[in-house]
Amino acid sequence: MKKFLARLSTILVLMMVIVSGSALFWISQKVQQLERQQKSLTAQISEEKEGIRVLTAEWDYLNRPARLELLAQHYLGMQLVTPDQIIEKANYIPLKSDVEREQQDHAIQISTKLNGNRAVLKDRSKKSAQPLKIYDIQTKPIRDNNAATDAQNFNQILETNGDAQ
Amino acid sequence: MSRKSSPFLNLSLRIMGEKSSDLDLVRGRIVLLATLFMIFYLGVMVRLTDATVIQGYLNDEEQISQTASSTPAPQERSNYRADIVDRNGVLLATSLKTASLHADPKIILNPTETAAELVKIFPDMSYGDVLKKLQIPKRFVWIKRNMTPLEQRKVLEIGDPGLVFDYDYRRFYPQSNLFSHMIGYTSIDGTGQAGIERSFDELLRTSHDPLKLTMDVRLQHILHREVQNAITDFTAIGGAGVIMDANSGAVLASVSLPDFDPHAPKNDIHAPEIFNRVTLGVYELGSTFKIFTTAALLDQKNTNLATQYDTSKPIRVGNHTIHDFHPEKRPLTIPEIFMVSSNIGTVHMAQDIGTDGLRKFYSDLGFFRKPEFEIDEVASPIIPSPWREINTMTASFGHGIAVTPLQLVSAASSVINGGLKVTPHLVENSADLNKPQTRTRIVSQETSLKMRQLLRLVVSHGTARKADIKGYEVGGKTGTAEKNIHGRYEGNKRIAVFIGSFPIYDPKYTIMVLVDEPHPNKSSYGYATAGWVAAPAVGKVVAAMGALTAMKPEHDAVDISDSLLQYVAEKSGEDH
Repeated sequence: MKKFLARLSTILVLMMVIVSGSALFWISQKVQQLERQQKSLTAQISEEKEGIRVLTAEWDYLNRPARLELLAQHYLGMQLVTPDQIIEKANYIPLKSDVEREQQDHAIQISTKLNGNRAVLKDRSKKSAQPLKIYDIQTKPIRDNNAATDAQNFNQILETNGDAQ
Repeated sequence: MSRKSSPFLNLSLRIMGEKSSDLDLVRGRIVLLATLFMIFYLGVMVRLTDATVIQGYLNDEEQISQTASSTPAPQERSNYRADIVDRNGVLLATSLKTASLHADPKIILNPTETAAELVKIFPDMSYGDVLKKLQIPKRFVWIKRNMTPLEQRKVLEIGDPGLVFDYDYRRFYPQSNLFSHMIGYTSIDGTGQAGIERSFDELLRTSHDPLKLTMDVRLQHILHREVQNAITDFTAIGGAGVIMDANSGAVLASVSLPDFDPHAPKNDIHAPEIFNRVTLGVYELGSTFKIFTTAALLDQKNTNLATQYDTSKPIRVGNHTIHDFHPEKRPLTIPEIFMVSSNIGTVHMAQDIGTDGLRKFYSDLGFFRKPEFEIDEVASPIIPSPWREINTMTASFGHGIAVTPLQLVSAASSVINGGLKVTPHLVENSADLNKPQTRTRIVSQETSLKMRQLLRLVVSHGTARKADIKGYEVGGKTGTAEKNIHGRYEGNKRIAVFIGSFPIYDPKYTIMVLVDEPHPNKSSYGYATAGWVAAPAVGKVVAAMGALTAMKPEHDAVDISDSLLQYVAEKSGEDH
C-alpha cells in the first residue's frame, strides 16, 4: 500500500513536470511570437510615421502661398482682396436670384456702398429717383440653415416695398 | 549500497526500509539511466521541433511583415533634427528619411555596365568618374547622397549586389527660399550652419518636439512678394522687410532679398544672397530717426506741438552744411517739420534736447549695443565715437549712426505701442506668455499717442501718401539716405526705407520695407525716394494683411491726424 502511494505521488509529480514544462514551452513560444509581432508592428508604425512626415512635408510644399496664389490667379481668375471688398455683414451682399429676377424685369442698380447699416437698391426703371430702402434685413450671417429663410424674407420685403410705391 | 567502493563509507548513511537484492539494485540503475536518456532525447526532440517546424513557420510569417519594413531605423546615430514650424504649425523645416547609395567595388559584378546604368539615372554624373569609383580597390565608396525614391527604384532595377543603400535623415525646407535667412540651413552631415538651425542646433538634434516660431508663412509671403516687386520696379540691388507685432515684439515676417535656396546654399559665405540684411545689415536709416528725435523732444522737454523752428537757413557746422531735401524756408511747427521731413527743423529740435538727452534716449531704445536675438547672425550698430555735438545733429535725422533694420523696427514699435519697450524675438515660447512681464517704459503714453498722430499725418498729408490704405489707418515715416561707401556719400546710391504701423489708432503691426539702391522709373516721375519706393510697398502689404488677419476695415473712423492740421499751414507738404 505504501509502495503504491509512493508511485502515485511520483506519477503526479511527473505529470506536473510535463504539464508545467509544456506550459512553459508554450508560454515562451507565445512570448517570442508576440515579441516578433511587436517588433514588426513597431517597424510598421515607424514606417507609417515616416510616410506621414513625407506627406505632411509634401502638403506644406504644395500649399506654399506663392503656388496657391499662382493657381488661384490662373485657374480661378482670383485677385488680391482689397479693403473695399470687405463688408461688415454677409447679408449686405444681394442674393444672386434677386439680381437675376430684377434684371429680367427691369434694370436695377445695386449699390454696395453702405448707407448707415442699410443696403440701398436703386430702381432705375421708374422715373422717381427715390431709392427703395430695405430696413429690415436680418443682420445675422447667412449660414446653410437659414439661408433659405433669409432669401424668403428678402423677397418679401422687396415685394412689399415695391407694392407701396 | 556497495561497501568497499563508496567514498562516503565513513558517513554511515542509514537508509530505512527493506534491503533490496543486488538484482533489484542493477535493474533500478538501468531504469534510472534509461529514464535520463529518454529525458535527454525528449529534450533534443522538443528543441528540434521548435527549431525546425515552429520557428520555421513563424519566420515565414515574419518575412511577410519584414518586407513591408525593410529599413531599419538607426535613430541614435542619425542626422535626425526636430521640425521647425511657423506659428500656425506649417512646416518650415523637416527631416525626411532618404536613401544614399554607396558601392562595394569588391563585389561589383560588371563595373562598366553598372556605371553606364548609373549615369543614365543620374545625368549629372560622368561615366568616367563613376567607373573610376566602381573600380577603386576599396570596400566602400559613396556614389550618391540623398536620392529620390524614384531614383532608388531605378538603382534597385540595375540589380548589382555591390550597390548598397544607406538610410539617413535629410533636411527639407518645404517653403524653399521664403525663410532662408531666418531658418538658415544645415550641412550634409546635419549640423546647423546658419540662422535658427545653427543657434538651436543642440535642441533640434535632441528634441523630438517641433520648434515653433513666431513667424507666419502667409505674412512672410506677402512681405516677400511686395519687397520683391519694389526691387523689380525700381531696379534695386536688394531689399529687406520686417513685420513685427508692435506690442510683443514677435517677428511675424522677415525678408532679405536676394535670398537663396536652403537646400543648396552657396559655399561663399560672403555672397550677397547669404547676407541677412535684417539682422546683419547696418544702414544709416535717414529720416526714420526723426521719429525718435521728435519723441525724445516731446517726452523729455514736454514741448508744445505748436512750437516753431526756423528752417529758412541751412545749418553750418564746421565744414558740414545741413540742408533740407525740399526746403520750406520758413518757421515750421513740429507737425510740419515731421510731415515734410525737415532736417534743419529736426536738428534744431535735437539742439533743444541736448546731446545727453538724445544719447540717453537712443541708448534706451537699444541703438548703442548689439541687440539680443535668437539667431547668431546679428551685427553691432555703428555709433560715432567720440560723440561730438555734430553727431547729435546728424544722428537726429539718421545720419552718422548706422543700425540694423531689426533695431529700427523694435525701437519704432516701442515708441508707438504706448511707450513700452519691445524685444524682438523669433521663437514662440508658451511659458513666457503666462509670465507677467516687467517692461521698461520708453516714452509716456501721452507722447506715444502724439507720435501716432504725427505718423498718421505723414501718411495722410505728408511724404508717405502712397502708403495710405482706405479703411486701415496707416501711420509711418519715410527715410531716404545716401549710402556711405568707403566713407563717402554717393548721391545716386540710396537706401529708401519706410516704417509704418497699422491701425495707427491702436497699433498692432509694425511694418518696415527697405530698398537698397532703387532707381527712378517712369511711373515715379524720376524719383527714387522712400515715398515712391518703400511707402507703396508697405501700403500693399497692409492691404493684403488686413484681409488675412480678418481685421475689419474702418471706413468711417476719424483720422487721428485731423487734430494736428491746425498746426499745418496750407501750402506745406506738397507731394514729392
